[in-house]
Amino acid sequence: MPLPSLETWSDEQLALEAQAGSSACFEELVRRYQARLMGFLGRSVMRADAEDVTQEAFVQAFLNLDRYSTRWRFKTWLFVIAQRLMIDRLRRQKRQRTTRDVSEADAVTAIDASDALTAGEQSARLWSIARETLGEEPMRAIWLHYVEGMNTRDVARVMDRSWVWVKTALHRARRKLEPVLGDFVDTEFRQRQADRKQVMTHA
Amino acid sequence: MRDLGPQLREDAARLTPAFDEALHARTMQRVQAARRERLVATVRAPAHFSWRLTAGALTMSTIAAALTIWATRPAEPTPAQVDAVIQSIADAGAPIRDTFTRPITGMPNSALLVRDDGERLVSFVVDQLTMLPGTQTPAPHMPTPAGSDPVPQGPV
Repeated sequence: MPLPSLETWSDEQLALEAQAGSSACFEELVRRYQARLMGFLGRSVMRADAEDVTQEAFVQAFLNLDRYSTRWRFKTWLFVIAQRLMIDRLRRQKRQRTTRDVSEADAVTAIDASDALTAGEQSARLWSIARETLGEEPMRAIWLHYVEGMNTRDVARVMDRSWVWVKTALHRARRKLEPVLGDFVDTEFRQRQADRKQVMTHA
Repeated sequence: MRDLGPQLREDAARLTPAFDEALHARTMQRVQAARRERLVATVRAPAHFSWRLTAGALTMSTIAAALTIWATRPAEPTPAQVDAVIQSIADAGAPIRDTFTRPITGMPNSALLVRDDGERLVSFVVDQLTMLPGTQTPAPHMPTPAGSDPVPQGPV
């Protein structure tokens, strides 16, 4: 009987097999989470840094598989590693900029705000609005909650924050983003309607 | 309150890059390189001998053979096991030909290869058995590098 495809295995099953030495299982985990980590990290660091941190996160996960327990969701464990590596990198960059007499307060956010989004990504304006109105950390929390589907406790673990902090951040995010989202959706809707009308007219 | 989720997810999908085969290949290369480094680091020569094992002088089969010897202790390794280690080191280009093995006194998890003229020694000190496929022996503590530790210490 053929072996079931690894694609059907849970993350935790794959992690256990990887612990026992299966490279194929670890590779499947990399396949599952590479782009997702890039998406998450890409909101906060430049693309090249996001790629580097993504790779480093997988290397660290691999080297420390013996410390992984299925009492964690693998995804949460991996995102904790990635988040810590990213924070380290941002701190290093901030220190380097400080030593070069660049304004200390804006060192990190300057990179984040201007370079994190490429021109092609500007179409997804909602997240840049989220960054501007909420700030860096709450934006990451809502990404983990809404995009990665993590519950508030797992978000708290990844962010190294209390559960209450996460609940509050999510609540504030909803309050601040709802009106923005309303305008955003309305504008998009009106634009689509206008485009459709134009197409009909030409037809 | 309206549900922000669908719009946020839709936008996040636009921001998330497509799966990148090249990045995936680079990541796996780094993982494999890290694995080799770890294994080489855990198979180390005694400091008081000038002998140094480098990544190029070691193969997985060398390490696997050394582990096999370790795993059979306290029984003496069989001649075939000893030959396997010697042969794989010779295959890797290391200048060891006539050797014998014995456990290193006071050093658990170790095997020692000694050339019969006594000039060269290579010890295998195995700290991380779980890195090898099929090895079920619990791994002793592996010290982490200095600096911040990005890996969570355990379940919350």
